[in-house]
Amino acid sequence: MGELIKSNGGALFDKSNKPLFTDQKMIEVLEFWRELVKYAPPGWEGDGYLQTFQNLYGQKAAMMFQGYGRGAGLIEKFAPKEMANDKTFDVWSKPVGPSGKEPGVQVDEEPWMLFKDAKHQKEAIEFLKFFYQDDNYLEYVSTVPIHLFPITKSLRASPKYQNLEMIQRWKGWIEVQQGYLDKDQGKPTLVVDWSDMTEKPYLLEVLGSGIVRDMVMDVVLEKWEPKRAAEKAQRRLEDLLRSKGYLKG
Amino acid sequence: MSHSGLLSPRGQVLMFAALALLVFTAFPFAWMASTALKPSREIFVTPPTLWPTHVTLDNLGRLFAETRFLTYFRNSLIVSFTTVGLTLLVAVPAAYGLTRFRFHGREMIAGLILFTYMFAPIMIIIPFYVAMRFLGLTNTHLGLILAYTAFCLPFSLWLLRTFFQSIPLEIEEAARIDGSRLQAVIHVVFPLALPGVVATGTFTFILAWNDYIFARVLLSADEMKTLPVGIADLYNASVVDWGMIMAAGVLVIAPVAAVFVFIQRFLVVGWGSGGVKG
Amino acid sequence: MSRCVSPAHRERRARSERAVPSMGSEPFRLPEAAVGFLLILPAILLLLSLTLYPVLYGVWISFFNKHSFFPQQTFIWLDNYIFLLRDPEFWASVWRGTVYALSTIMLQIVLGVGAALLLNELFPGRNILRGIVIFPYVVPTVVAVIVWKWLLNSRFGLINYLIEKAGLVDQPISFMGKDWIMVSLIIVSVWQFFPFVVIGVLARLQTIPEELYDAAKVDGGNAWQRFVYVTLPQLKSVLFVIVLLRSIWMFTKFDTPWLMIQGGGAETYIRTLPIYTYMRTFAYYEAGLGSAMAVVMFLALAGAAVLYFRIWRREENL
Repeated sequence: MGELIKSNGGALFDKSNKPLFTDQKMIEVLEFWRELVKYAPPGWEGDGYLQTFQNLYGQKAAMMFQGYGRGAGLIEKFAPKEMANDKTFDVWSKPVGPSGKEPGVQVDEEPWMLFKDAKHQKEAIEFLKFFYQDDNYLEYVSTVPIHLFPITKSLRASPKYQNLEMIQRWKGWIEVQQGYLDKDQGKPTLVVDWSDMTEKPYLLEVLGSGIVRDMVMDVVLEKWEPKRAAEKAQRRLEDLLRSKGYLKG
Repeated sequence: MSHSGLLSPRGQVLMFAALALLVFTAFPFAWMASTALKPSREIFVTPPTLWPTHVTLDNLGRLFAETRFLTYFRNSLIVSFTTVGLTLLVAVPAAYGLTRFRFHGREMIAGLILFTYMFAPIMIIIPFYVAMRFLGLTNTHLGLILAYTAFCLPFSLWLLRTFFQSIPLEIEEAARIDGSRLQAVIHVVFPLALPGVVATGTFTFILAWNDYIFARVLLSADEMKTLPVGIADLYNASVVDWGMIMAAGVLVIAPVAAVFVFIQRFLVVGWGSGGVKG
Repeated sequence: MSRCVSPAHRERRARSERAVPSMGSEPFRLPEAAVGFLLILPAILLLLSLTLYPVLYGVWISFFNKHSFFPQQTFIWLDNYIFLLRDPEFWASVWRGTVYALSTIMLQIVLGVGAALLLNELFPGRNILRGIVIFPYVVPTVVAVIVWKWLLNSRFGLINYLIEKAGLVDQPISFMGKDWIMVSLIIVSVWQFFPFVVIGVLARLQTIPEELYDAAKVDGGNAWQRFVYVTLPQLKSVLFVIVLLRSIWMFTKFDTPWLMIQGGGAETYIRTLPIYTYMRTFAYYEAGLGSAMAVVMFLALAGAAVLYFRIWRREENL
């Protein structure tokens, strides 16, 4: 949702942490969902995250919203060999909303967290430095497809990485991802602007509450009017943020 | 009970119903085992095959090599056996005490059981979690063992008490004449109560082996997880590798099946060998 | 398994229960009552600390606004409860939980009694079948859910294949989708828990004296009448307990619905009260509110149990 609202030129919360769900921009996003679902297979809501991938490489679905390196890995594992490449499974660039100018893209991140009171901080930092040395990281990337797109520029640029067979097969995907990063369009889940990372510490709680998901489901499954679903989500989010002390008044 | 022939209409109805019951109850397990032994390609083929055309142990191999299944298995064994040990350690003397000494044991235990059942895990897990956090017992097996013991105690007390009650006092008293009370208990009463102890131990083992919610809430480190949580997480992470998931399922229920077969035989023998009247 | 109660036995028992020193040679002997107490003490301590204490603590924090992980908490008296009364999600989850519980209980009883009746008859393989029938009840919930999810899989599941082959449907049914997930959940729950009913009912059936059936046959009763007028009344007391226990457990069942949701499942449609309680505590981090929900659950169950006992007692007295 973060990427969709961004690609529609909007935001999820304003500076005072007030949710912006009843804004026209969010309504347009919901209408987009409603349109999209018309092409989803019946019972799609019961398919989990991984089942969706299976629908794709099992040739039951023609298109999937998110891809990632995991997708490439699963395709390689389960689809017929001749299909496991970026010619068969190509990438479509992200949509831009009616009120937006450029797409937003969600970055799937696996953050390392070093706690302030951790016992072996120096060792942890040393380990990370060691881990991300090109040669070591390359080992990791070749065995864990989720890291199809490595996080270090040096590895991305290195010929050893670019010559990996698997990378050769999915070059198209990687180029698209690089493109988004170059244009600074990639952001973590629910993050619309980089400042959100420090100014909006409640994003995970919002994610965990399921309010946003419920809103989308209300529109696409229960066939509610987007305005009504948005108002319900707005109320619930305001309650949530107020009870946690982020929203005053 | 009429012993009508198998081919009579009544016999046919019975056999049909029995078959239906068998299929309903056991077929899912058979299907699980069958899938566990099928190679990946065959699992997704239509029409599905009932028995694998190529039996393979690949799924099992993947389970051991690519996941922490064996760690989860070990953890479950540790936690379950320790729970059984602790429960019996506490419940056997208590049940003995309740029967041999004049207490209003019966009403108290019945009330206690209902009390603990009324507080289903979902209700107790929240304060339990907070308390465990406070004690620093989250992410330890000890916390889990304590939780399971608490839950198994009331029923264990009841079951053991029933068994102790059925051992006539004369036998114990006869033994006491020859020695101290403690000796009488150890050498005479306890062996007679063994079926009850085995039954209680089995019940406790199954409860600890199968629990999900306490393990889910109290454990977070992957290497501490017990099987139910480990398998559930495995399922989430590789939801499409059905062969491997089914292999895991088969292995998880294997101990329970083995325990069942074992105690069936044992219990029958236990009841047969004199000493227990009625 | 009755104890011998001859008068001589009673005499001897009474004698031995007075604090009389045994004939053994122990230098120091605790009075009988103290020994008994000491034997029970560990059990009592464990139960009090691990059951009673958390329960009381749970009630305590239901009056607070407490974060699930951090120690800070603020006293808000009944605000959690008031919130629940006004929370549409809460009532929705109560409704879903009730639908779930009532459906599964009814089906478990019907299927369980039927199976028990069957297993009470004589036929080859009966004893083996008795052992097999117990199995769904003793396997971990996670296995039960996973195996049924595979059977009910919308693309590759056997059930869909069979019903399509039989011509019952044109398209595979999405058993984890919004229309069917409650049904799927009920199927799994009935499969998992009906053996409990079988065990209880079968044990009771085996103690019903044959003469009662013979008398009924003499009076010209057919099988159905025999069941209604002989078997059922005899089963009343065991069914009473079974319904009570199954009700408590199905209303508070967490594992089965939760595991159905994992890895794909239209979550909202089986968000029962236990699920919502868990979400609020461990996703919203509101331990106080979660505890309030637990207290409400308990009060509702206790109230229902009291009512249940009352009705039963009235029935018995008629």
